[in-house]
Amino acid sequence: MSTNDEDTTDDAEPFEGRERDALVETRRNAAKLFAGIAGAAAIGSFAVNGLAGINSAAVKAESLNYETIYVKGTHLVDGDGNRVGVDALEAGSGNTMDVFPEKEGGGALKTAQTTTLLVRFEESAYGGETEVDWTTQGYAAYSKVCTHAGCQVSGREGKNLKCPCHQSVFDPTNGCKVVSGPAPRALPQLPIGVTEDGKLLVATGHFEGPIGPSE
Amino acid sequence: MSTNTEDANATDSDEKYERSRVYQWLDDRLDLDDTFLGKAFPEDSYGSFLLGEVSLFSFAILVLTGTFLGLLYNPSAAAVTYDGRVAEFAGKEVPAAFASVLKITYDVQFGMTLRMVHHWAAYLFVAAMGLHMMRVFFTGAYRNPRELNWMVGSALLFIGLIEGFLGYALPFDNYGATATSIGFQLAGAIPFIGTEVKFLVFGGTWPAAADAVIPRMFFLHVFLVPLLIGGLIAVHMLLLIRQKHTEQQGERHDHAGGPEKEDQSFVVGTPLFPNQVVVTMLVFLMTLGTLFLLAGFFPVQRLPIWGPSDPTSTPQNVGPDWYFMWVFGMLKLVPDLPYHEAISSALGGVSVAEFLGGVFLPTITAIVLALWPFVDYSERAVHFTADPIERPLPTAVGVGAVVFILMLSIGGMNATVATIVAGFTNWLSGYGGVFADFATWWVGTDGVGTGDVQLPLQILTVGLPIVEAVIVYVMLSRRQQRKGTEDPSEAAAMRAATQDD
Repeated sequence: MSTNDEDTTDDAEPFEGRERDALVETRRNAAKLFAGIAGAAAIGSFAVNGLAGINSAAVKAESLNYETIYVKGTHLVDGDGNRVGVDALEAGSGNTMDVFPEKEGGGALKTAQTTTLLVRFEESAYGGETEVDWTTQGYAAYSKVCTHAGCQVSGREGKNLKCPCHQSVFDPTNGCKVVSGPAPRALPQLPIGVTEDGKLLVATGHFEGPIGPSE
Repeated sequence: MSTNTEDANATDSDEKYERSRVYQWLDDRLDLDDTFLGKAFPEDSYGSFLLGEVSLFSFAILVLTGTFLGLLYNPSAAAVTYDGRVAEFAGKEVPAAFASVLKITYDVQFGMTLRMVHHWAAYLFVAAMGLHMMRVFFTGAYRNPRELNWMVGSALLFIGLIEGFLGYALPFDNYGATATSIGFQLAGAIPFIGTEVKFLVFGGTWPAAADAVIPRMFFLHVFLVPLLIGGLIAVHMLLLIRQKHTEQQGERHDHAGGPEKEDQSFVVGTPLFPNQVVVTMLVFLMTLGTLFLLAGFFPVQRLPIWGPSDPTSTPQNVGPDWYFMWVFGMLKLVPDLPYHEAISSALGGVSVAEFLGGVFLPTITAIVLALWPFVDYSERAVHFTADPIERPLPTAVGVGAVVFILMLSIGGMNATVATIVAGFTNWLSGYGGVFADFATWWVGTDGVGTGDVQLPLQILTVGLPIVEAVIVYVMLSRRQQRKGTEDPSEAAAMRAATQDD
């Protein structure tokens, strides 16, 4: 319901008046702009300090990465910290179990990132992307952390491994390559071997690549 | 524009509620301008104008039951020895948060009921907001001058979703904790600033630093976000009072002395006090009764089934609550793209499928929803609601959007879809011949996996909304051409605009 009365009276004003008005208007706008910038800077500097404080106080737990979770010679242990022997899974069964790196001084280093899947198939079953030198007696080990959204790949679909969150399927006899689903990368393999006495499973190196969606 | 109520307009303010001593006492001190009590609530033959009230009351019930739960909950991830009634965990070490929720559920009088009411009220809060927004959308009630309130409402919907997410983790059971870790990872999938956002919001790594994250989420869930929701609800209500309700034109009946049927500068309806208040109380009691009924008969989130959080395992068929199922569906249906490495490094090293499905597409959806009044922009102020049949394009878009969200939600439950398909193909194979051949061609001989339903779901999720929207659009615009009618609410707005000039 606005009317145009104010605008129409403008036309009757002398030229100089309008120019001066424009100048005043420009000055006002400039003053508003600078006041706005100054205000935003004042409030913003407080906000940035607050945010920086909150960010620095966040507990970023895991300093481990794929190169340090396991190193050459790290024993594989089960959830209770017992070292895993070569008879842990039935030969050729295709069964899986969760294993973890052994902490210094014993016990399992149990976090979401360190969880590892031990599988055992026939030795002849492996091929393709699986590094056969990194398997031993039909055992192979992969990170259990899905490369899509970081869930634990704790389901099965036939011989394949399936992530319960978004149904990515990985083939453990073919380097845990993605068979279907949204995961972008294979589950990284862990090189494993046996101890000198031939009884226990150990890592012979670190994971081949980053754990989970991003590190 | 002024309010016209059928029986409250003749009285003088001095004489109002003269028999109410409470009113007189307050009026003497506060000089009440009681036009507010006469606010007109338009006639509504569908009851759809009450959906907003249902979500308002759900929020009130959430606050009340949440206060009860908040007094008894212990926001701590420290391990304690469980000594409550659930035999399964007797003597075991469980997180204190999990133990306290078990205590609320199984040891505290009335605790189970109120916890279930809280959970169901959260469902109803989101559902009623969704339906309320559909009502507003399809009747075009978001049009000029009510764009701002539509945006406030959109914000309420999404902040409501976030509030539900924050509450999901608090019992610290394995199911909720897994869903939370998916959300935690999603926050990390925001390009470049993901890591900072993740730690700013959660306050630590989930679930490894749960002892820092659980108290943070408790604070957000019970204080900061509810405060924000309450504030936005207040803004929503103030805008509603300031701008007045829209009115269904067809519900207005000509009567002597009243405004004309086409005149949109009035709102005709029953006054807030005393008529509408009775309806409102009825809605509140029905909401409360429904929630207790649902809580009593359909328990949700039964913690002992999942047990306490275990970061080294993920429960089977894990999923979010239904209101996040569409995001979950996006996560499942967006495939891994070619050139993953190149795109990923361009986005600062995030997982591309996770970024697209969990961040980009939901954000685009939210932005389109919130800014829709500027897409379907109305030059003139419109005060009547529209009949969806009269608006081919917006109605078609609305139908397409609803189908899209439904298809995504079905995609989020793809494991269930695979089970149903397995039953269907099994039944089909029983007929032999071409039927069995078809079943084998579709799913192979190794049983139905989620991989088999992936492509059909992807095609349907993209295709079905488009097909349905086109059908709706073609049918409605042909009807409009045949009848030669235009939207009466726009016509009334046009008349009002020309009269002003």
